[in-house]
Amino acid sequence: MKIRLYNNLFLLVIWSPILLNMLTGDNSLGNGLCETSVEIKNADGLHMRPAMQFVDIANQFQADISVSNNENTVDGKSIMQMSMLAATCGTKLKITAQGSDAEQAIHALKVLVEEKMFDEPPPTAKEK
Amino acid sequence: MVATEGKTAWKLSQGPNIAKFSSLPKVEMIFTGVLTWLYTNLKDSSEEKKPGKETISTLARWSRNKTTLHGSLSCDCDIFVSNDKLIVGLKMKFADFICFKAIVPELKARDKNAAITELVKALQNAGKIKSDNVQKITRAVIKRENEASTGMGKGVAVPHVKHHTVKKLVAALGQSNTGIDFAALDKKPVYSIILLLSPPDEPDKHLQAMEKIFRHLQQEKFRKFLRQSQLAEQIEDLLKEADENPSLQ
Repeated sequence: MKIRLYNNLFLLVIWSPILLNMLTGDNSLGNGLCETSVEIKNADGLHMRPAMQFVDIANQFQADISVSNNENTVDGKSIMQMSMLAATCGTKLKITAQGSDAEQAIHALKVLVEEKMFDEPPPTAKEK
Repeated sequence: MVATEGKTAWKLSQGPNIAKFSSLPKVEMIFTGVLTWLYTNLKDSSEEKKPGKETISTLARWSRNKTTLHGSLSCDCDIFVSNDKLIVGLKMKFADFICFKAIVPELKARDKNAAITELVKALQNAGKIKSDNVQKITRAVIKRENEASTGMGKGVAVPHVKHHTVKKLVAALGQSNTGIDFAALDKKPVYSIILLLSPPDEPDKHLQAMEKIFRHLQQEKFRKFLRQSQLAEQIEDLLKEADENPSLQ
């Protein structure tokens, strides 16, 4: 009986990070690899200023960060490459991070893009 | 729905109206062809909702081949599938927004503000902006530039502003042999400056122009060619070549 309990506890310990990730929507793939998909929600899209904010945050982490749209995968720490995504409002991007702080990086970038929306307004009802 | 510029998306679940596409000029065959191909290949693959990477690349390859076959579509055309949408986009060309009459092969300016002023003047002389608006636009670009430098490193700066007096996306290009201090990210002097003016209500086109600019300026070869060009005509040729031949990046 006791062994069973420990077994269950053990399983819970193993599964909890995975369950947690499922709940937060992030997708940890093990080996410090983590990815998520985000949608650009501010009206003007990922123009230079938001791209700089993105790159600034990305550079605070040690993990390698790449961002891809359907065509290109670019370095999330390079402003020139990020400008090449031409991510308009409504574009979905996949952010992948690899490294010891990959999870924190993904979380910070997701907050920037989807919650803070780069401190910019979403499209007005008319524009939509 | 006419996809002449930018991106147009069709929901696959709705089914593209092929009859509608046949009314499109010139490009009709390609779109209809791609859609027919897409339908015969994807319609019954219900077990996999999202088409895989391979499908997308096949489609892209297919469309590229068609593009080269079709003289009227020498630009690179993007056709790709995103979730349940088929996206057809004709990439913006330099010729679509760079005003060739506003190419300054050797800027007289020695500092940032003077370079911006000189390029705005070049656009005025080319008839792209009205003389009444020159000062307003110059001030707006300098103000934007002071908020955060657009000197992106590697000797390139892209000062830009969205201004209500601008009705159509337009850009001027200036070169400096001596180099100009633009407070660039890498602290190095700037040799190539592209001044981009866009209307406030077209954020998507602004992004596409930026994409085009950086796709090429990222490449060392392109930057080198640009810096070697001494005449406006040479720069114009280089830009046109980049439009025709996307592999020259």
